[in-house]
Amino acid sequence: MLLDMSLKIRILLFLFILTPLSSFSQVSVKGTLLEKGTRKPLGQVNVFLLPAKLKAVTDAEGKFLFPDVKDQAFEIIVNSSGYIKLQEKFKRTDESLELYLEKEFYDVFETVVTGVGIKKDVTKKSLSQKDFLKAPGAQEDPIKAVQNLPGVASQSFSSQIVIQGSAADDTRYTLEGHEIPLVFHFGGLTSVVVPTAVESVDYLSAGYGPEYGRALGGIINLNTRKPKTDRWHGEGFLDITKTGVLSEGPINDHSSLLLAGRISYFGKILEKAAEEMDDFAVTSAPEFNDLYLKYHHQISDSEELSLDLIRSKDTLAFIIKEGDDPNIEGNISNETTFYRFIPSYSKKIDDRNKYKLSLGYGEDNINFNIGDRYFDLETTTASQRFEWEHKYNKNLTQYFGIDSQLRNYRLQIRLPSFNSQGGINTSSGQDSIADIEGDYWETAGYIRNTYKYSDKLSFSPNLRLEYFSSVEKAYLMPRLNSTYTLSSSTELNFAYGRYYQAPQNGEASKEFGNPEIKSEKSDHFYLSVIKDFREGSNQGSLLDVGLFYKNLDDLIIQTSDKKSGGTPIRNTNGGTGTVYGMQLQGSYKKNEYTFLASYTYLKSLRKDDSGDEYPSEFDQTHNINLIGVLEKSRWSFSTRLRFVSGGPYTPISESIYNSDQDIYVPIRGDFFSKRYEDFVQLDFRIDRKFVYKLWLLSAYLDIQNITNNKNGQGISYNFDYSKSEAASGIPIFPIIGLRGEF
Amino acid sequence: MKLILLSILCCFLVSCGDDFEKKSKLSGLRVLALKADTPEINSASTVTITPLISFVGGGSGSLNYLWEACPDPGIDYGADISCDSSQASLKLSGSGTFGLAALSATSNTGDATSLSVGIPADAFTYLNSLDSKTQFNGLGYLFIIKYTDSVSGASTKAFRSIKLSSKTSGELNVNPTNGSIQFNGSNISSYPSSKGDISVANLSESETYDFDSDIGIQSLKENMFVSWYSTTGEFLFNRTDIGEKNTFTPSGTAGVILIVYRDGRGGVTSSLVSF
Repeated sequence: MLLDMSLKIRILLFLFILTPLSSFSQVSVKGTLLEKGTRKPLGQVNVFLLPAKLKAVTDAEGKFLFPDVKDQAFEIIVNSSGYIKLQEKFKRTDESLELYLEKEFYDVFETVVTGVGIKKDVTKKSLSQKDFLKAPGAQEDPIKAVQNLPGVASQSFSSQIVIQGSAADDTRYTLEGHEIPLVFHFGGLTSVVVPTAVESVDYLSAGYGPEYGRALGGIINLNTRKPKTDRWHGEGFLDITKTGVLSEGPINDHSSLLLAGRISYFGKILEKAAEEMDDFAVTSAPEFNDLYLKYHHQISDSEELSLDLIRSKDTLAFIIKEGDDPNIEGNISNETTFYRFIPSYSKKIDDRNKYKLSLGYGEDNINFNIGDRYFDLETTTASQRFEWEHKYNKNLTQYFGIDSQLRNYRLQIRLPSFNSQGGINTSSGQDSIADIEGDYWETAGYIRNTYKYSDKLSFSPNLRLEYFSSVEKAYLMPRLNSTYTLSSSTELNFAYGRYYQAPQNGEASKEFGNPEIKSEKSDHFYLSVIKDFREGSNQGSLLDVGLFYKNLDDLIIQTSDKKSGGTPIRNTNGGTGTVYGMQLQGSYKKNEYTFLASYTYLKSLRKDDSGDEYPSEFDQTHNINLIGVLEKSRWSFSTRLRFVSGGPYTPISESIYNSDQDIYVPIRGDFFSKRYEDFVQLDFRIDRKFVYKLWLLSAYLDIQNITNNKNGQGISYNFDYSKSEAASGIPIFPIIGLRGEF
Repeated sequence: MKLILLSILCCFLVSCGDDFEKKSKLSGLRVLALKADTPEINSASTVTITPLISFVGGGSGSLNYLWEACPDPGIDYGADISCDSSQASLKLSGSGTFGLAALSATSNTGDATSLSVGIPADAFTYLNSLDSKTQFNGLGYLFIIKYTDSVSGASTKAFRSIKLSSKTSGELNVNPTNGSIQFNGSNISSYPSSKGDISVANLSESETYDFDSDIGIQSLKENMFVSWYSTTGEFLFNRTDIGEKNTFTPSGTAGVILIVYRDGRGGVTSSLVSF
């Protein structure tokens, strides 16, 4: 017993002595888990330590800690969904570990089809940044990617968005809801906003809601994104036409900033091409630059302030030593600049009330010179948007808004008058000379009522009231959105809207147009069915099928009629039109494969005051886009096949020689009575992502028209229009691009 | 404006129309100019129009012609270039036949029979009923002519404008003048045997003229240019400005070299050398 006691004491003594020694052999292992390439902290991830079989969970900053670990070599294993398994051995260490977990996929290409459920606008489709950055044939451009959506016409030489058989001028482009004067550099080269600063592009077509107006066709709205707040990020990119940088990060705990800019050098290519031409010389290479800045300030949990600034400049000068028309040759130069400053403030008052106010201010300058002739337009624009949202209960929400725009302009012009009926320009060479100053404004009030009548039926009877000062008239425009849920995965949508568009481009001016002209009018009807076959997963298919019908009235057309006294009338509201069609959008995703399809069937007809009906310029009967994407590890392969029925054009039946100007004046045949060849184009794109610990490098090769199809989308004539041939579209056109980001 | 610029650029980038024969190369039946002895008048008078025509390969037959004249129906605003809708009292017309034998047998190029167009007093009455700007700047009185080959049926149509205005006699537009055609700096006396510079001596300078615009009276300068034609060989440019040289590359066969000099507002003159 005594011995036992002695043994116990010795054991206790041994333990007492050895315990401190034993604690020296235990260490803590701590570290941070970050996403490889982006350095994004990974929270709520299990980190295992072997051989001790210990587990730690990362916090929001990606930090983890193993407090008591034997001081010996160990192995860390992290196996998280969506990431490549990390298994790394370490020798005993007191230093903090920095672990980088590599994502399986860094981008997923998926076009967003309007989802199922109550939403503000049943006609709206949106493309997110990851959609447009990898869209084949779009060269990472947010608006060019919109051409993959149903209802959008295809154009060979321009990227302007033509919506559902309307005219190109019937589409309005906005940035954060405020109109911008141009959306593309040089009419279609690339958008004026750095793509990675854009969060999404909204495409609103037939039957769009009361928040917008002044466009008979539809709206393209660019939504920019908030700057990142976790740390400072940087990005540099270049392709064969341009280069640029983007930087963003936090200024303090509440504020963040994004700054991006681009410059082009594609003019050097044109300069090189022009060296071989006797009758064409580039005197100042075409260049563009743009700048975008966004500041965001989180004033409180319920208040936000943001400032957007965009500036764009295009310049170009060249000499046409000899053109078809002596009035369009010599030194030709163009400079277009604009900026917009858009501050906005939003506040959530309580659970039922919130509002947003945004203002826009900017100046536009378009300067165009041809020899002694000129076109100088200076415009100052102020705009304002305000929307108050009030939830009466869980079933009824109302939105009250005001949308106004004021413009002051000065136009100095000396250019030959021309007539462009049937898409063919003719001129006698007689100059129009004017120096006009003026202003006009448009202001609208609107109300949207989102009412959920039952679990199955919701509808929005909406109204917009707008005044156009250019025609001194106010218009009431009812709009309606309705959704009926047929099942948990199927819904039926209906939209109706009336739209007015004020005369544009001097159509109502006394100098160039007809001051008595009215606004153009359109009624839109849209019916669609959306079926989601995915049943809650992200695999499977989604189908959106819609029918649209548009009635167009009071369309502005040119006339050769004169008033008594011989004064030309120039324009009348004698045009009418009808557009109808069907559009389909589908997507299917299975593992690493994604397939997207859009199809539009369209009839777009116009009638002038003579009563003759003819197809409109954008009456493209069939328009098919098929996209396939394979994403494999760091590679992405995508392809787009486009088929578009040949668009109509007005044939030239003969010509008559104008001896005063030494030009042949084409005599128009029946308006848009012939069609170009069908357009078929196959585009292909490869993306490769290189992931480094601290940064990412993306490289892409985007080849447009890989089969070099000629795609005659125009007619080229000889000097007296007696001979013609199809003018080829853009040939095979590869673009290589690089993007580095940290 | 953007689209105009873009289409100009695209046209050059895709080289539209490269395969067509140049405008300066004469072939077939063409009217090259309608020369008026007085391009602008301020009272009812007779204007003599001399068509400059070319019908290379047209043989020695004859051309039937029909002409009509009337106030501009509004071609800048899309009206047809015709006198169909014009009042009878303001309209003139005529017809005739021109024998190609009157031209050089090898080129069938030169002045056709001159035509007398007696502008009616009613046309000035009509002018006086129009707004003051049109009266000052001038109403275009169109002269439209169509030639048809009596053998092949080939035809061509051309028009010009005779300005009717309220300007004083000293302010009325007159035709420009030109000197001889020069090859490598000397008057051209024989068909060139090798490529060289070609120009026109003593081209009259552009005149300034007043134009009543929406911003008041503007003093504008005429846009002078030379149009080049030949039956054989090739010019670098179809058209050049004052002082600008052209380049001519002859072919093995001699032919006609011809220029037409215009002021861009109806004034026109021409020179022809035949080898």
